[in-house]
Amino acid sequence: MNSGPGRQILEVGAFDVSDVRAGPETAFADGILTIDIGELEELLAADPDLAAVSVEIIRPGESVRVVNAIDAVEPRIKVDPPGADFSGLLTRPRLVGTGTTHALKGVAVVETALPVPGEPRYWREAVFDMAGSTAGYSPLSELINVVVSCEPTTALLESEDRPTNVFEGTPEAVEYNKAVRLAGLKAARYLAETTLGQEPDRVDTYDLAPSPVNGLPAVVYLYQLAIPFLHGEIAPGAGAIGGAAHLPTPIHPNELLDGALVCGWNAIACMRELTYTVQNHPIIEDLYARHGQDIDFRGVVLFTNGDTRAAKERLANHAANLAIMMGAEGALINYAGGGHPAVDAMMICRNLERRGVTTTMLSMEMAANPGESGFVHFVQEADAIVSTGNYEETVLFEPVERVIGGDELIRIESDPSGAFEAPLAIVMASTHQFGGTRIRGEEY
Amino acid sequence: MVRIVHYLNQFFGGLGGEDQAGMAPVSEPGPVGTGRGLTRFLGGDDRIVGTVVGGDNYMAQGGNGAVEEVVGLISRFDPDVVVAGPAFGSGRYGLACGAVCAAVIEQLGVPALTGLHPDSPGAAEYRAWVPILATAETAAGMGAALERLAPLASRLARGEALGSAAEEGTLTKGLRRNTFEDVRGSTRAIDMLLAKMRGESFTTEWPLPSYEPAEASEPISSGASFRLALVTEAGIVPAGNPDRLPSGWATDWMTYPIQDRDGFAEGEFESVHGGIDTSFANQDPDRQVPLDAARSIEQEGRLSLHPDLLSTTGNMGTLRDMTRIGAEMGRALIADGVQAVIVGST
Repeated sequence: MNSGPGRQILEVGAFDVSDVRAGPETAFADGILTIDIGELEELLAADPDLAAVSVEIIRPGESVRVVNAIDAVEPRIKVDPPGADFSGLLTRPRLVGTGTTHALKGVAVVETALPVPGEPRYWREAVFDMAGSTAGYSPLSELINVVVSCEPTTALLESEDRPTNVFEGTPEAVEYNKAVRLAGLKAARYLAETTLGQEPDRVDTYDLAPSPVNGLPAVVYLYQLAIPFLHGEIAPGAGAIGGAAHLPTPIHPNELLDGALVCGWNAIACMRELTYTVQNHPIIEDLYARHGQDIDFRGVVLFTNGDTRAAKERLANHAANLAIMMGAEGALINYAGGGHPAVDAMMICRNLERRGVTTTMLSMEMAANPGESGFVHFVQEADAIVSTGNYEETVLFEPVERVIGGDELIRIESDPSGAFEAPLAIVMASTHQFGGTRIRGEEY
Repeated sequence: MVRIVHYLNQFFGGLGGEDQAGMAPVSEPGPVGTGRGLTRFLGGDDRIVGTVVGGDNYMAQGGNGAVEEVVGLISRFDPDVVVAGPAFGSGRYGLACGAVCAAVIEQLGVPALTGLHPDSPGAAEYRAWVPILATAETAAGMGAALERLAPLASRLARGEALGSAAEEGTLTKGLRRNTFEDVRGSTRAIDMLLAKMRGESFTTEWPLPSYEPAEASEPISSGASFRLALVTEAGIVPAGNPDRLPSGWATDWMTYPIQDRDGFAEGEFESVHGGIDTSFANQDPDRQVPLDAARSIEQEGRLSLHPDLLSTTGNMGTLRDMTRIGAEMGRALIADGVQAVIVGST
């Protein structure tokens, strides 16, 4: 399926950005991205679901804390085929993962949004610092961020409607959160437009052609989704929202890198499936880098989680079937975080191992107290786990000069610019499930 | 000079075998028994200034009082560091070594260490608080253990922090903390997978825990009437959550009277559990805790229902808190003559 006509080869033209500045005209030249802030704000504020939008630029080392963060997006634009940006969200569902895409490197668009009464707030706290001791925890702290702060309409802020459960807000609140995400995507495309007609600093090519070297170990990546948009629709059955879990599906990794998958839900910040992280998916990037070197990368299987035993068994059997059908001798499995998903991920591990496929898992830990194991669920077959960090560990946030994204925190009782202690859980992507950072838990 | 005080049991202190296991703690100046061997490995003018010997059974049965006696005797020697054992894989002796070291550290503010086999009961109980040198399972490993205990004791006495468990040959505390690797997680995962596929050695970064199995109780004999209690970890509370039961990380449990109810009505009770879709439970809390069904069976005369619902939130609850809450609930219900429990779980 990876050779012959219709091969999906993706070329990402990378433009390294050394600084981002406000200026009279939005343009990219000599590594400097200049933004006409007023024009961008006007473009984004046109959405009737948002009352106001303001844009600020923050850099590593500045004494700034971002609160009420929603998602982060790498500025990108599809050059070929044109117009296929963020399939299903900024366009109709389009073929992506093929052709040419331009990307501004070292930059992220980060949306913030005040929470409204109609949305669940239990998991929503999401923070990162650009300087100080906590800056080392979020991958976003190392980027120049274009922060898009969105405000809800008065009607939505004063609405008496409350969410029916901890996952889903009222329809109006869901629409508002989607509008915030769309603002981030629009800003990302708008910024990357500046690269059109320019030569990138380098081109990264993603081609899943059969390995030119025979006999390398065949590896499949089993990717447990959180609750993302996939080509514009919340991936069916994703998360423990109820209803039947859909069967796992194979997917070309290039689609995931090329905007088909967008963060869809305000999960716990440390494990939020940021669009930026998926555009630069560490596991997929690493598997590609070693494809034909020391492994034979066979592709990706997406899976979610069931919320009944039968659904989990159906899902876990099918995921193993697909991986084996793709020729897997070895499999990487990530756990998306949360309660139910741990069971499905572990069941897949067990199924694969029992069927002769060697597995390694990536998992965050949740050990709140000394002596806690930090596991939600485990199987004896899970004897090879890479830890992506213990998100219950308390970290000290230092005072900052400036806060972007709101005047108050959601669950933490502190002035957002002040010093406070909080679990790593609230730091954006700090222990994320794709192993993109160097943090890990260790026994001592 | 480092002043070392040594703790030993009656056997290694040379005061007798099992027949002397009931002896109360005694102290002697200078090294005794095992301590003479330890002295051979001490550097400079470090020396054992005194030894305290306690009987295995006395310590096992004497609880905190016995440990207090030992700590009192130890303190009279004004130690810079206390060495206990090594006790290898032994049960009573290892536990006593751990308890004595923990008490010395906490009460005297003096460093202490012992030597135990990693699988011994004392290691499991005290590894989080007491530095423990990993030893062989039996006293055949005595020489090697003493040779390594001596410099560790000397360094602790001088206020030196010990290195990692791997560097020092000590047991880990069994706790988790975050650290940073040189290589990102995704790359480590591929490296680990390839090593595992090739049959090479690899070390999981997150070892699996082992839990003690829960023993199932004997079934209620069929036909007999019995007393049933309803318990839940689904965070079922009266509407408005008057006691502020948390949606997660609960450390306490509540009781709510249900003796006047034939079931839970929508709007009168609700679930505050933060980890599930609670809408179905809120529409009809009987779906979560089957009070309606239990009441109808009670009316048939087949059981009698406990007057209270016992409720907590299991979401994000720690194993330690939930184990304690379960034990507290169990004790309360047994005291009320309850024979069976239905736990409405999420």
